[in-house]
Amino acid sequence: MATHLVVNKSGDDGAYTTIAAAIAATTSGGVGDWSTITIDDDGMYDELIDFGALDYIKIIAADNCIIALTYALSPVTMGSTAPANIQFDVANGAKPVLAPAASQAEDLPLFAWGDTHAVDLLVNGWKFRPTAGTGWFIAEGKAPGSVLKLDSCEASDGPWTTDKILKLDKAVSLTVLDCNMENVETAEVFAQIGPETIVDIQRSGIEADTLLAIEGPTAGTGGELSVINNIFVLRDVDKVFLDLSDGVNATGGLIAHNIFACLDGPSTLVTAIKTPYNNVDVNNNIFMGLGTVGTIDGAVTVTANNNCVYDCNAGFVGNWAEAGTVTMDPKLGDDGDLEPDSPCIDAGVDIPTVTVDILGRPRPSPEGGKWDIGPWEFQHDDPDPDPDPDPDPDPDPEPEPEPGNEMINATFVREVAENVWLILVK
Amino acid sequence: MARFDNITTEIPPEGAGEAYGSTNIILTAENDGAKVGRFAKFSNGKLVPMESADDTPAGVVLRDLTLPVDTDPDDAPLVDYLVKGLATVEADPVEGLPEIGARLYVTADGRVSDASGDEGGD
Repeated sequence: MATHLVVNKSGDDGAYTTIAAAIAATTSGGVGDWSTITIDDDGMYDELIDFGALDYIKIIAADNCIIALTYALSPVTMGSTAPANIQFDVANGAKPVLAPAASQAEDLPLFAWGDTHAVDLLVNGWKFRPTAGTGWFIAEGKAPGSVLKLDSCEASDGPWTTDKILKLDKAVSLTVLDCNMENVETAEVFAQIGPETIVDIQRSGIEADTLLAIEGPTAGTGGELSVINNIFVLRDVDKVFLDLSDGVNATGGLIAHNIFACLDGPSTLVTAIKTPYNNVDVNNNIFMGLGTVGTIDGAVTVTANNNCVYDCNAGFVGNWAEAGTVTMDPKLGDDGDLEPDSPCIDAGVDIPTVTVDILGRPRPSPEGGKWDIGPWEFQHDDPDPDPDPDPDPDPDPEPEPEPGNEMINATFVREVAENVWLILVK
Repeated sequence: MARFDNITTEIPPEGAGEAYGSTNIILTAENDGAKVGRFAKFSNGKLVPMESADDTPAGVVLRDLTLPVDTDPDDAPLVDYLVKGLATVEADPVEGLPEIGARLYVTADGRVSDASGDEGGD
């Protein structure tokens, strides 16, 4: 039976004063009935979080707490004797931080599990901010079948390891959504995965030499690849940023609406993409300041539609089925958004499965229009690109809701996201 | 050259269906398809989606933190709903944001709007 415990340094209302005490008192939850431990204050906790054999446990930060342990060990361990489902979540808009301050001798992961028992780990809304030590990385778990999902997380400060940020050699899937990993620039490889890992990276910013490294003695059947709406900052090194040559992603995928940019550029060294597969499409991306945009490994033809290639030493090299390439300056504003005269506006190929941009704004804009190239969708002021003076009786498939219920007493406080308001119900 | 540094520094804000503060009045009820982050009404003792602007709203359906991530939050058998206090709610798209403290209304599908729907506004 699931338990629901509260941690608060004051100990008010029977709350546990340490996370470890709450973990010792909790029991495993179950499918649809997770046990929760809610950290209900903004205190600083210097303690290890070891879930042991617990399963279906969710840590919820309801305030801006900081876990800043001074032990030279991984702050969070799990799945030691059995498979585990673990989540780190937030509530009340809290922004918790995992900030180890230990001076360890070797690189250490913030989240660790072993080689035997698979772990399904979700981390949502937490910030990773190590402040001391020779090198931290985010997660390491080599048990087959493991799952890692990072949602709305940020990696800041450091020092981060110069090796790899995620070590998931035999993971079944890796998901990175809405994350800011631009401060892990000392890392050579963002994620080490297995030949069959399903990869889904969307709406994130990542700086690294190599996005994915494949670990495995033989090529697997391949996992599906979705790399969409990201900002990738590449360095001027003789490496391939996204190399699919080692057996991954044979089942296909989509690399779309990203920007691959070398800000130190123009580079003569770095290559953005290398692929041996004809079922991984490369569409609607911006490539800036690179050595080479894309190369092909083997005798295949790979689709590359409507990409913007600007200020690069070489474009798509080899047998690419290339069409609609834009070679002009994409004209990005200081915040990255497309300027009104950008040639990338409405210049992309239609990808109906991509319905938002990196900021979560709708694609295409206006509705019914064309997809833009790059992570940002230019938001046209006029929602109707073709105002028709002729009254069209064409019924709207989703009728506009009629405002009007006055039976609530609610007032506007502020906007927290697009079309999401914080309101006060009286 | 455009700048990209920290373009995603700000973690995207919470979605609709989050309660803020500690003085809210939050109740629990059986759920029959009510959508998280929108106002819902009661029907046969269960929370159901609003169907008309004339329906009487019961409150804002809140996200269930204890649900597994793979579970559709709208399918939760029991849900919390806020009847008084601060919460995030889906809003009808508008050209400009209302002023702080502006009166809000519930749309036919449970979102909020700053327009009453009456000619000439309220």
